[in-house]
Amino acid sequence: MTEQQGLENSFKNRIAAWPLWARLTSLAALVGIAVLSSKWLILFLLIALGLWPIMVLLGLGVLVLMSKSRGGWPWMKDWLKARLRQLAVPALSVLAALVIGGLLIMFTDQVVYQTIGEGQIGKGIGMGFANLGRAYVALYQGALGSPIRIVSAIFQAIGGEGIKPILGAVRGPSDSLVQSVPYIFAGLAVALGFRAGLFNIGAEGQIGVGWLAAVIIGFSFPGLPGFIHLPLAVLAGALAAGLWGSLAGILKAKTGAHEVITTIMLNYISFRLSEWVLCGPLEDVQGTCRTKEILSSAYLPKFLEHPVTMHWGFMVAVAAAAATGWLLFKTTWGYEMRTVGTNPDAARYGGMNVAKTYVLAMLLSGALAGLAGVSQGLGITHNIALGFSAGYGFDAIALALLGKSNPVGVVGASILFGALRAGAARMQSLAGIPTEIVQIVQSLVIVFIAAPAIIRGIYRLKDDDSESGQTVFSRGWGS
Amino acid sequence: MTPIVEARNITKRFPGVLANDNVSFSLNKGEILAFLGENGAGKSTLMNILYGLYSSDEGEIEVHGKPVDIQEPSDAIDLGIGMVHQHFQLVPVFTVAENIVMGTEPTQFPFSWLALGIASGIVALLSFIGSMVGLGGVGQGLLAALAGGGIVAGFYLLFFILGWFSSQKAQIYIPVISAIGIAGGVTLALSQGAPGEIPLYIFLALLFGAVSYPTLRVLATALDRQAATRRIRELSEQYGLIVDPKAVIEDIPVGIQQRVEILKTLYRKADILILDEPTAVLTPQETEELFEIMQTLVEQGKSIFFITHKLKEIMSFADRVIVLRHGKVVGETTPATSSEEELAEMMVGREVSLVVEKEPATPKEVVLEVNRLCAEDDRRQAVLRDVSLSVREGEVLGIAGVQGNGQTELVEVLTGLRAATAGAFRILGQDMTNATPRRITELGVAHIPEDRQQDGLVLPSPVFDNVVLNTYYKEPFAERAMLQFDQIHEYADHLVKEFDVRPPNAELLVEALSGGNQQKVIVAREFSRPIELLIAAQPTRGLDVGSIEYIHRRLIEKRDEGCAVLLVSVELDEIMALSDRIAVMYEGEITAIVDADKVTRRELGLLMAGSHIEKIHQ
Amino acid sequence: MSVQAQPIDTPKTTEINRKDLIIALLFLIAGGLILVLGGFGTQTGERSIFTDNILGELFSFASRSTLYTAGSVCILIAGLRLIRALDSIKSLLTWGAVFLLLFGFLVWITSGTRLNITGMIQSMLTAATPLTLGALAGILCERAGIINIAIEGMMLSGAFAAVAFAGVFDNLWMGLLAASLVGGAMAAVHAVLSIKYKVDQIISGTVINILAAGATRFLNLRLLEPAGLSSPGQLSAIRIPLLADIPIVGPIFFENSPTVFAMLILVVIINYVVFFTPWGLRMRACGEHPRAADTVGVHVNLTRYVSVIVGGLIAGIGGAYFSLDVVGAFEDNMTRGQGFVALAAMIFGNWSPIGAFMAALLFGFADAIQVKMQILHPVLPFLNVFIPHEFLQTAPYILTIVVVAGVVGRSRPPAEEGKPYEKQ
Repeated sequence: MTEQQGLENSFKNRIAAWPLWARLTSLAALVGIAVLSSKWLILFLLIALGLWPIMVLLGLGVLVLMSKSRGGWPWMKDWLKARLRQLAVPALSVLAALVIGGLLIMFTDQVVYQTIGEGQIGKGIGMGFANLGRAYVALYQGALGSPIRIVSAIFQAIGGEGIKPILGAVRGPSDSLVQSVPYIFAGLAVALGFRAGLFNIGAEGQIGVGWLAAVIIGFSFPGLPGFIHLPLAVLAGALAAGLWGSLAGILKAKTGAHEVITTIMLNYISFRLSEWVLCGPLEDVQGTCRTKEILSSAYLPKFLEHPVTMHWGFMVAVAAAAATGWLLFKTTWGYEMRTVGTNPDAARYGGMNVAKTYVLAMLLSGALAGLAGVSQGLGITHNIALGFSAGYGFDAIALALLGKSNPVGVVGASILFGALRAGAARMQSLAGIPTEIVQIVQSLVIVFIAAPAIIRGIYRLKDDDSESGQTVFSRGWGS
Repeated sequence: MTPIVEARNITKRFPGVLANDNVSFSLNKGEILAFLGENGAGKSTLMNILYGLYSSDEGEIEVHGKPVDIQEPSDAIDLGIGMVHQHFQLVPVFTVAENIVMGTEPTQFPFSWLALGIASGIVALLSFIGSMVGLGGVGQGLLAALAGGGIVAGFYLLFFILGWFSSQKAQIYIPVISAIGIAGGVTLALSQGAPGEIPLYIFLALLFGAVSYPTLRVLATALDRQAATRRIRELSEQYGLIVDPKAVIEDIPVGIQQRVEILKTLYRKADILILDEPTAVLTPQETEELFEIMQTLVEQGKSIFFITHKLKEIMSFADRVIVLRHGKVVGETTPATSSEEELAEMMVGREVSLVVEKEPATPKEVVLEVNRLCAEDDRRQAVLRDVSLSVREGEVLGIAGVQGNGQTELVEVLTGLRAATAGAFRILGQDMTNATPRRITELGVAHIPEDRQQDGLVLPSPVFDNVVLNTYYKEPFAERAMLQFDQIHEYADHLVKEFDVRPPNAELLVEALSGGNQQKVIVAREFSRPIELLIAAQPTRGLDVGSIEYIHRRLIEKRDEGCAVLLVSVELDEIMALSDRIAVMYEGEITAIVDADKVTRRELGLLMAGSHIEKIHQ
Repeated sequence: MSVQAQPIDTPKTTEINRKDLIIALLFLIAGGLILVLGGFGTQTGERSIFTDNILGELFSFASRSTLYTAGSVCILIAGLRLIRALDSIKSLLTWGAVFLLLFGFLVWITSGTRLNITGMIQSMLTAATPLTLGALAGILCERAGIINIAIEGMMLSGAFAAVAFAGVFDNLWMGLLAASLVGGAMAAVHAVLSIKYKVDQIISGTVINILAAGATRFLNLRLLEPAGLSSPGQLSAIRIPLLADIPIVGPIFFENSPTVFAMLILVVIINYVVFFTPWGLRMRACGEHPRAADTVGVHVNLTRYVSVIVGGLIAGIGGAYFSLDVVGAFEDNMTRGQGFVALAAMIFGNWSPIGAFMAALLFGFADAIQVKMQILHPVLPFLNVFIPHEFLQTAPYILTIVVVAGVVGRSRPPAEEGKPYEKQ
């Protein structure tokens, strides 16, 4: 902790010594380089994700090098221990949830039942395991691709066949990241709310509002150049969802109405109204309950060709995470939100405008959730149809918990959930396991994260004080 | 005569604290035994052990000469022990009667129509059976199981009506009846079902059999509100505790609420009463009335434990007193053979000098001027009525009064945390009525809040976050809305050193600090910026003697630097030791403002009780 | 002090408070709208005819004059509120005005046609059934101090279990029983998480909802559909002989599906248990001030467990309504957010069983009238558009927000709700 700070400080001091124009220019240069080389960066990222064990080994190698100058093995051991302690509960929770999911896959199969019913218990269990193996291999490949295929594709590419084979091989990681985009936004939305002491259960509705607004702007202005049209659509989505979310903040600030109730109700109001809009005024073809396609000038651009579907949303999402972290932990606004979130009375005492902070937090939370819808609308579906609600808003609660309301943690958790979702799609097509298994796994993850005592019990872990009291967000309806 | 309660060698440990260390005591019939001690001396813990809210780690208790094991409050209640807690344990939205009877409610067989209903239910069940005949298979089993449950239910009901379910007998009857019923259900199941389905029927029979008793038990007992009211009226008259059984708790004053608490114990036939700091929230008149009630109780054969840290109450009231310090018994005496000073020394452990060394004040310009200020509390009742006062540079104005006479709200209004409904106040000549807390703070007003954990600190945050709670947005802690953590850390480290916060580490979470050190964090924050007016509410409540002296010294230092100080405290001694002038608040009004050196304790006590100054001087 | 110490009295103001003003304005606007509907939304001589299946024509109102009357009375009531007249029967007048508004609306959409009023009330009651059952589950849970936003999940799993077990045992009644038990089991999970593990109760409730949605669909695809068990058929209505033959009342109350009967009986029983039995008193104390309950020997956490689980049993029956009553099969996510409307009914009904039932009836009315509107398509005057029926569907949610915001009347939740109870 302190060493990290030391590093950070020396780095910061050096940068801080630069004049403002130099800082801005270098930032712009960095962004420019990133944009120009984005295609290759992304390809590298996808390959790295597919070949994660190699990356972990590389990381360990770097660590060994670093440890040389810092005290060798004991330092490294402590460093690893600290990381492991942080990750133990989340990782073990995911593991336990996957195991239970595996049991469900094994034992919910007609053929297995029949075999066991006929008395061939051993054979039945064997078949169960075979099912499970097939399913989880498909899950892994759908989520992270097949490492062998990636390696051979790299050799093919070096051999002069172009990047086409690589593109095919990294489809899994790409799908995972694409799926993680709405998760990151929605997770950030809930996490930001948590930090400000607000339980935003209405992310689902805010996603819909943002999606709809972005799509409306997206098909409305033919002839606008992309560099105006796209940001306009994104901003419209964020703003609409932010305003929708801030309704709950205003209600809480003005009347004390509990945001859990108001956001739940706002969810359903937005669902009903979107039903009307989508099957009424905005319906494109009678009976489809779907809007027009957006214009290509409002598309979120893709990085690479088919079948890699990675679009700019991922970059925006990561940037949003960075911005959220910066806002929460480095600015006075963030200080106000965190203070209001932990003790509103002390915040009032400290001269903060609690009501304003609630509204602002709900506005930002709603806007972030709205961006989840925007990224879906402009990046993937290019329209909005009835039944758009895919549960991202509710899963986001799990993400915020899993990531401990920390933007970095949320991004990590979102990539995990995105990978699960991407893998589940493949698991369904290859092994016939319904994708809902992911929902079951996710809900189990929330249980284990929210009640660490269960996980500690299962794995006989020692108690860790840093966990205590981290899950009290709601203070009853009345407050 | 054997003592009615005898406790030997009670020891209770909490993590890091030895709350009770080998404490022994005994209580005789018809006696008032006082426990005296400072906050945290272990008085309440001891009584909570006797009442079964805590369990002791060591030691034994005898009641009426028999050794007992008190695990739960219900055990204590069965032994005739009743407790009036320091914080009343009353449900605000319930009526007086509901609160008193809860847990041991008078009941009646609900309504005659319920009996009819059950009868018709049985008819319905029969017709149900009729309609099910011919379904075969599971349907038959289901009705067999229902019939099993029905048999059990029928028996229960019959026995209940016959009154055979008094608590003792039920222990024998319930298993027997359940067994009969379940056997009946299973027999029916076996006679009707297909072999493969029999386990299911047995399961269902068990299920219905098992749930039928508790369900019927709940359904067949209704609250008898009339009986409750009647009984409470009787008790009221017997002990002179006048209450309206139908009033709702949140609408009645604290003094009456306390009577309800006492009635609660009497209703449970308690003959041993524990009163935990009963006078803390009462006016002197209410206290007098409480003592009269206690006298009546003792005359009628009750015995009383009485916890307090107020010496005067003990002198005027207790038969015997046990003094506790740091969880240990340090002495036992009777008021007749002891003096106040002697008790105080025992309680604190050394000669107490509540005299704070200070020079006479040299007041200058008026800093705070309050003019006919009015405000309402959270329930929209008027709590401040035409309050007028002024505080000048270099003087301490103390506000004395019993808790709950509007002091809290006055401080809240002056710091911008509560709206004034009428009147005005000016700070440094500027009208600050209903200004935001921030404007008031920026004017140079420091505020030590009454509830430091609730209002003054963000407990789960580190010290360095807390020391900038009201300056975080200003230079040098922030530049263009960006927090400057280097400056904040530096500042925090400096304050921690200067104000001797222990342990001296600004990275620690505030919740990990002791109460005294938490208060030091607040004092450090408030005293380390340029201030003209200091509003300190209960600045030493719950602190140890060392911290109290430290904070008193700092307060006087501030005064001598030319700061105006408004001190609010319910501790009369603190007010008298620190103030240059004293204002007394009673029921939301300032009843008197007097010079500190021209008033006696007794006079202040009377003023706090609502007397007027002319009367006192007569 | 005390006998003589009178409570500090509130200053009596003659000016009217904000809440009254808002209510008055709302009635004023609504009354005005009714007048406009009467004047421009109906034709001269049109009649609104309310009928019954057996008796035929029951009432026939001259639409326009009825609407004029209803609208004027509403405005009159608003006026009374503004000048603070008849303050003593304020709430009666308020409810009267609400009734008149609803009635006026009904008269307007029926203008020129006929409305089967018995059928309408019947469908109100049917629509109110799952809402009431869900709300009862919520009330039991929340009165004991545990927040329950998992009604939806409990109902959904109940709906699934009903179909699954009805299929397995080939008996619909077993399905009903299983629905109840599985609802109870989900509630038990909620209870263990929030009482034993002290998980935030909203998180725990969300878990139940996500788990129920995922698990029911997963199990349906994996187990029920392959085995051909997913549509066991519908529960048939029970007709109570003789009573069902009473005109109007008979078909409404005495000829219904078993879940509706269960709902009606449970409303009465739960209301009695919560407010008139010792157990109810203790349970409410657990939600209001658990420590007070503990100090008089009430086992707070045990009481909470029992309340939550019994609530789950009831929610399960509510779930069976969807699968066994309405369609006779299981469909994905078939509760469609009705669990949250039940939550709304609970809040709107101020955490009381009768109140929640009334709220559910009101929501059921919105539902029934929305179905009617899809058939009748009343055209709004001036705007010449139909009222989209989705707008009416948002009514329960908007009303709930209005109530929790305390704009008109305020619902008061149990004070200590959402906080795990720990003995010291």
